[in-house]
Amino acid sequence: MLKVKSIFFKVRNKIILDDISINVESGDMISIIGPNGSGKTTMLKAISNEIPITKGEVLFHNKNILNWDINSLANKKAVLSQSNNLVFPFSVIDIVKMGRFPIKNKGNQIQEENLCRKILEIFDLGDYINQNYITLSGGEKQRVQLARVVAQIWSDDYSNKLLILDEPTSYLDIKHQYSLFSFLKNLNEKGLTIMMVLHDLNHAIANSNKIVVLKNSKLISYGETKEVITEKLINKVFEIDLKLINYNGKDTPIIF
Amino acid sequence: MINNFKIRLFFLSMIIILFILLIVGISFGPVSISFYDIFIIIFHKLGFFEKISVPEINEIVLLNIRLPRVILGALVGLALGTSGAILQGLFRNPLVDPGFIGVSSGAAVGAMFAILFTQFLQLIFWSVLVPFILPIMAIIGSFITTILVYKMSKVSGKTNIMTMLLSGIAVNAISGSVIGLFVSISSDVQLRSFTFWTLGGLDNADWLVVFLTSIFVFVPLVIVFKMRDELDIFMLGDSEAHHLGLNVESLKKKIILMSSVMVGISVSFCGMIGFVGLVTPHLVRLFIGPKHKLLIPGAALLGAIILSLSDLIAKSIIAPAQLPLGVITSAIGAPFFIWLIINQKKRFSYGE
Repeated sequence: MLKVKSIFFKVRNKIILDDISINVESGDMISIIGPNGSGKTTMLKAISNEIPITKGEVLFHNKNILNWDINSLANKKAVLSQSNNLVFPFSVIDIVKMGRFPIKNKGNQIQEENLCRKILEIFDLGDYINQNYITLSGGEKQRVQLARVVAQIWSDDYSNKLLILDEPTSYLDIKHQYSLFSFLKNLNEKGLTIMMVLHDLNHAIANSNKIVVLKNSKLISYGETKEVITEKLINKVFEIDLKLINYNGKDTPIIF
Repeated sequence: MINNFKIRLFFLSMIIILFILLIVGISFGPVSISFYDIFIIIFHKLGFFEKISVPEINEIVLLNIRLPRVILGALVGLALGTSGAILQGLFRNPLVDPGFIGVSSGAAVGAMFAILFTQFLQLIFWSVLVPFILPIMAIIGSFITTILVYKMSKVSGKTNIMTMLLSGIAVNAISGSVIGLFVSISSDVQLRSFTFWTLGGLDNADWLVVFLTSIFVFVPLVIVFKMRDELDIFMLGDSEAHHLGLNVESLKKKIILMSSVMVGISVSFCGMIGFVGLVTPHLVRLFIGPKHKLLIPGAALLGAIILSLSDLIAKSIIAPAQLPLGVITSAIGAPFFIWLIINQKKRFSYGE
């Protein structure tokens, strides 16, 4: 689905991405981890066509991402970024409806309205539909933005679609973190490919089949979660002494 | 919550208020014309009545002075309200006004340039375009200043309000010095036409001006209204809008061009009229929300109302003399602006 071929990104001679290559297959659920400033967000921006890379190429469905028509791309790929620019008092449902802006085969007005309400219910925002967005708390705002990108990616066939999330759990309380991941896993089982930057290593381990590890702008490791996550690697990358244990006889280890 | 009833009520009352203000504006002045006479004269002109018994002076005053004046006032208010709405959208900031950020003074420099160098410009322009020289130069002036301020106020992808206002001060200062230079090298006649620019007024109104203004106001208004959904998406942020399939750079260029045309045309015939572009979109958002589908027509209507009302006040407060229009709009707008600043300060201090 997505081939990242030896990409570089430089800002004023400072290298932010240094020769990164990964291959994402349809149906993957990939977490990107690494210390602060390792290039995680920049990597997401580079592969989602938000910033122009200095060298290398990104192929999405075997076609260079630069050659994609911007609207067709928005029909196949949704991105949640970290910024929050909204200063005008839009209502929550208005913002979720904005997620439907690029969709080519939309339903009628009532169907669209119902879909957006349904997605808001999923994110526990059913009581906030007409609320003014700027009066919401940080976690509520984050859930509205998540609902917006989910509305954009929503379809009957997820097999050729990609969802990119930059720190989707930020500001979320633990209950909403867990319900977000169970919802994402559900979409992933229906065929949606997901890439996300995560800070909580336990979330990353529990919720992805593959992991990308970045440090100092370089790709340290990429592969199946179980093979990538080792005590040695985590301690080397994050420069800290952590233990990996198998809790309750489960396959996935947890870190503390 | 904003429901359909509230929206309909808003637009209906806006239209009624505007209509009343226009009629009162036509009737009011040194020669008072009764509402009945206005009705008779207009219907006579439209071909309904053959003979009428209204004094000829009233007919002349109404058709050649009052009517173009109130129409020009409404058009300019419409242009300022709309351009305020889309400029606030471009900067994603509700404190933007074409006056603060230097767009109006840029337009004034362009317009003065056109007057000072009329003979030279007539040589290079096509003769058909000669009546358009003044508005075109004003539009060029406002276009350059908008781009300048927009580029200066962007800090790593976001417009910073402080740099924006500072850029506005800088641009206003540059324009001010150029205006000063023009004033000192101009003739007496030119000078008289310059002074009104700083405070604005509708004294230039005649049918040619109304005709030119309506072209330069309605064409951008239609184009801007067509971009309503894109403008909503753009409010989410540059990168969000990009990921929703919007060509962000092209949208920005369109906003800058359209607002420059509207501000440029207003300034070139009516001078710098401050605060209308700031106050109008704010009030509209308060009543019917921020969606551009409603905001653009709402700001257009309310802008026309505020300007017509201001002109009425300017004409009546020291009648038979009249105050410059900009004095009235500033007197209404500045306290509103102070209220906005205090409001924002509160919001920021609560950690938003």
